[in-house]
Formats: sequence, structure tokens, C-alpha cells
Amino acid sequence: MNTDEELMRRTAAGDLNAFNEIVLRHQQTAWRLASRFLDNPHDAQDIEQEAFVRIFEAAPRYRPTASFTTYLYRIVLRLCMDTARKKRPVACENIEDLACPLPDAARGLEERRRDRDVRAAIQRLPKRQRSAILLKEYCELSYVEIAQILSTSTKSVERLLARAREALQKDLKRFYK
Amino acid sequence: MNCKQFQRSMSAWIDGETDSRFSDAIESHLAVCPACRRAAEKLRTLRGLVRAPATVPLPERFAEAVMYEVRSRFQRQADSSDLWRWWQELALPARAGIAVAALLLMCVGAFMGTSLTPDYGSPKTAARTTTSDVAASMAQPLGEPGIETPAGAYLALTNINERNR
Repeated sequence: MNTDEELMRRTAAGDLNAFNEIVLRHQQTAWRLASRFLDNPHDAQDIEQEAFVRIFEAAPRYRPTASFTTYLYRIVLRLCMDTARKKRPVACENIEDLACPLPDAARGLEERRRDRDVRAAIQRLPKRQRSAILLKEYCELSYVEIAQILSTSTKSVERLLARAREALQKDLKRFYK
Repeated sequence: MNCKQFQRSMSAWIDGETDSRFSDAIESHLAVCPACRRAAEKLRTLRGLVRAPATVPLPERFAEAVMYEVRSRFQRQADSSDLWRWWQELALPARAGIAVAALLLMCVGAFMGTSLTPDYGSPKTAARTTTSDVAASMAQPLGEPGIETPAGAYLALTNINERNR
């Protein structure tokens, strides 16, 4: 199997099939991050498409200093943050209306309410804390990888995550017995 | 290890980011401190809560949409780079010649656009042309310019304008 770096090298030489393989390989991971960060599937789709197009255009300049996923996550997050900055914050009552119907629509009402509240609590976090918690909980990255993506130190990642969890615990305390 | 130290590093410990010696110290502390055990349990519950919401599924045929966009941009890039390469390969006199020729063509186009447009008269004289004038010109005998042809129509209108002056 070709490595991401090899596929990027072929993409830089104009091989569109190689790039197609990259998109197929990483579309789910990028989607997980973008859709969680923005909590709006329409924006997330635009962001992810733009991220892949930018990667394609930058392929001749790509240098594999870190793993390809780190590079991808960094671009996706930057675009997400730009979009979040331009948009007005979403009132938490409307979050459920914005989100697409989930595959398991038959889930209990209580469970759906809880999920909505969790998503709203994540949306209320400052952008860097939100990025750190999403990269940790949904992308399951190490502190070193998160630090590379957010261009910071591992100590700073530790602080970001601790603060994010503290804020989430306060926000979601009604779910603790 | 005391409670304060534990609370400071609890998040990193839950993530498995503390070294083994530090982790051992934390576990020894938890064995004797119920308050910190509860705090650790709350953090584990939070992780479960945060991870619980299902992800919205990726739109169908997403990769195809991306590749369509990429292909169209790639084609545009290739087209523009071909034209640019052709221009770069030309010698300087040839480039200057093409630029002068393009300028001349634009001047000729502008001249033809203004000087060869038929003068249909000013709005004032045109307003004085009545339908009876046109009917009269249509009733002209054969051999005189009529409006059967475009050229004839032009001459008929010119005559009407002459008479109105």
C-alpha cells in the first residue's frame, strides 16, 4: 500500500488517481473533525472540500515534516476557525434544528437531548480548547500530535484540555448523579 | 502526591500522558483518597458523555464532489500554464509585434465602430418622421429607391430626413 507521502509526491506530479486515493483514505477523519467543530453539516462539507482542494493545490510544495493527518487536521481546523469567526454564534436552542438527522433517529428523546446539550457545551468552548478536546476525544491523537497541529507545546495542550474539561464539567453537571 | 498535585495532572493521567512513575504515585494516592477517586470517576463520566453523540454521516459521493472540483481547477491551471508557456517561449520582438498588432486591431475596431455606423438622424429629426412619410416612400414608383431591400429602406429613410431638414 502506498504511503500518504508517496501519494502526495505522485499528486504533485499531476497524478489525479493518487489524490483520489488520499481523499478516499482521509475523508472520514477530516469529516469527523469538521462536523464536530462546526456542528453544522453544510458548513462542514464546504470546509472539508476546500481543505482537500487546498491540499491538492499545495501538493508541489508539500514537505513531509509531520504525518499527513497532522497536516490535514491543521488545514481543516484553520478553515473551521475562520468560518466560526465569520459566523455569529449559534443559540443552543437552534443547534438541534441545524444538525442533520442522525442515523439512529429512533433513539430515545432523553438521549437525544443529552447529545444536543453535549454538542452545545462543546460549541461554547473557546476555539483552541474546542480544537484540543475534539482532537483528543474524536481523533484520539496524542498530546505531541495535538501540539503540532495547534503549533504549541505539549504543556500548553495539557492546560487547554484541563480547562476544557473543567468548563464542560460545569456546563454538564446535571448529567452527574 | 497530594490532592492538589493530583487535580493538576488528573486530565493528563486520564489521557495516559503521564510517565509510569507518576502514574504509580497517582494510583497510590487514589487508593487512600475517596474525594480524588470521585473526581477521577467524574472525569471518566465526562469522557463518556463527550464521546457519546453520534457523528453525522458523511454526505454520499463526497469524494466524487471533491475530485470534480479538483479536476476542474487542475484543467484551468493546465490551460493557463499552456498559454503562459507559449508566451514565455516567444522571442521579445515577436511578443512586441503581437502586442502592437493587438493594439492596432483594437484601434481599427474602435474606428469602424464609430465611423461606419449609419446616421439615423438626431432624436429630434427622427421624432418628426411620421408613418405617413414611410407609407409615401413605399408608394414610390418602380425605378425609384423603395424599401424592398435593406439598402432601399436606408435610402428611403435618408430621403425622409432630407425633407425634414
